[in-house]
Amino acid sequence: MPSPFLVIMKKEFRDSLKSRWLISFAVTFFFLALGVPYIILRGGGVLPEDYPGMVVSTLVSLSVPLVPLIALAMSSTSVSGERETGTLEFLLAQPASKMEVFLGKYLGLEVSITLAMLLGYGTAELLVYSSNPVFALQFLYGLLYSMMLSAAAISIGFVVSVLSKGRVNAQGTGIFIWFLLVIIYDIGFLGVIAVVLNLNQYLVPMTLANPVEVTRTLSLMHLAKSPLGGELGPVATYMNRTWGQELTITVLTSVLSLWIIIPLGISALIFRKQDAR
Amino acid sequence: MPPNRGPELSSVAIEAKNVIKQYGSFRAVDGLTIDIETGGVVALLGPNGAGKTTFLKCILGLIGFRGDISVNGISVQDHGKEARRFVGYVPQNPSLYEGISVNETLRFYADVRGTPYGKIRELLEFVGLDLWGRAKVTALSMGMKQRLMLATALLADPPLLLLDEPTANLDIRRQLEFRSLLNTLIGQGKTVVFTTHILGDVTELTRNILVLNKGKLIATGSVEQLMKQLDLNAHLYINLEEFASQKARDIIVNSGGRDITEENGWIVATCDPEKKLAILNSLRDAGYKIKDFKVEDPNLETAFLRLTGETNA
Repeated sequence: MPSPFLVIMKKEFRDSLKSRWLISFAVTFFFLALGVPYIILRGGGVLPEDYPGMVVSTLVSLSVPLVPLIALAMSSTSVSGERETGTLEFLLAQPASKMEVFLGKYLGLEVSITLAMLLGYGTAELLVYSSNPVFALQFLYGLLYSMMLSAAAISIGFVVSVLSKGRVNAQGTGIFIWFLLVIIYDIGFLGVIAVVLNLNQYLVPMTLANPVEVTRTLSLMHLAKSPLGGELGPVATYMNRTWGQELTITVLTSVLSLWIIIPLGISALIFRKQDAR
Repeated sequence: MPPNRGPELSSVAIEAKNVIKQYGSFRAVDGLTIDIETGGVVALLGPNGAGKTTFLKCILGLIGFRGDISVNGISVQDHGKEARRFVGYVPQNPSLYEGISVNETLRFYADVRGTPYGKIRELLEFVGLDLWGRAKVTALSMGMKQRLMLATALLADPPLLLLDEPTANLDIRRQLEFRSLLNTLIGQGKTVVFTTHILGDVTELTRNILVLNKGKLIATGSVEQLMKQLDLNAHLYINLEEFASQKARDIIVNSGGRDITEENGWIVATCDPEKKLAILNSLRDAGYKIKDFKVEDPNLETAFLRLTGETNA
């Protein structure tokens, strides 16, 4: 007899397949990983052999903002949407615990978005990046951190979802958080602080306080470490100098993991205490 | 549908002790203590905001509350999941996933409840949706959705049904159909607790009512007792083919009518709701030809207003 947790998780996953968003995202990820130039150059028969090395850092800067956008948009409506239609209350009226319902929904979404990334990025990896072990390894690191970032964004989205009153409100808040993490935080805070004020001591905590920046820095660190090389931003350079490369990667990976666990814990706690509406 | 084969209840299905549900300074449920015996059919009545739905949600453990509620001796607060195994719930508004079919809906909830799919066809036949298994939920009418909710609630053959205004959104014909389904289930020995605003639900399904107001239990008994206690009467309008003679008036009085008047050729009599048919039959048996008749039953809203001492604005 499957537990309600597995049943709910399976339903979330099936719904994502049915609604075709999973396929759309997989296709988006695929073309993002491949890069538009690939199609043009390959079509013209002038694709250089080191093409993957030329685009891998561009891939990081394109992929890192996209992943949380998708994850936040989907997760912020996960609980709030069902609450609005009354299906959540009916589900909780069944012999299933609140945590089984909550985790079933969380992991169902997590598996769906991860699968979309694996399908999209994975196919691109097989087609292009697997030709060279260096490219392949860097690509795999990028994929791993993207998965962690998507899990963190889903966790944050779940906090929004359990706290929001309606679907529209939740989605708006989710998109605003994405805007804050990706656009305002990047250009506004970090850029200004680094270039104008030169307050190095605030750069690290501000980077760690943003899962998108943590992921971006992590990916760039790996890239810089590899034979492909690549430029580190001011924050990564400062961290590298202060802690050394290995410790920085460990710290950043741990912080990204905390970005998954802490919001998930908070949203689970709120959901458990909340009345079903 | 075959008789109940699901889990069975002990002698007391629901035990609620001093249940309090508070929203800010407002007490939606205010110290309710109620025991509902197994096999009983109980209607929770009361004006809007009386706390009926909130109390049902407390029984299901959907909302937090103070006090104790146990279902079949299992505490809802401590072991909600276990307690809910004994309960089938039908909310007021059908809350179904719109993108999936009727069969998929039932399979999903069967999986959640850990019940095999074997009963699905039987349940669809029972609620009259056997030809709609492949239809999307969106294609169903409100009445069909409500029947699908009932089928979903019955998946694991729970011995206790909680129904929140089950016929409120249905037209008269669908109300009758739905009540007929419920009567079958009651006949099988299910314990049923339901909230309603519709007098027909009460009179056709149960004799046991609990009247709530402002979260408190203010009256218990049968509908007839309540109507008598509040002196609520029906008004019977009768149009006879011939002149309404004194003899006809006497027959009406002898069959339970009173305060007889005449308005535009209609005889108007006040009576207990249960005496209406007796009056009409007596007139017919005495050879009077009834051209037409109308009945004005007392309604529950009037009863609530009398009970709570409030008046219509």
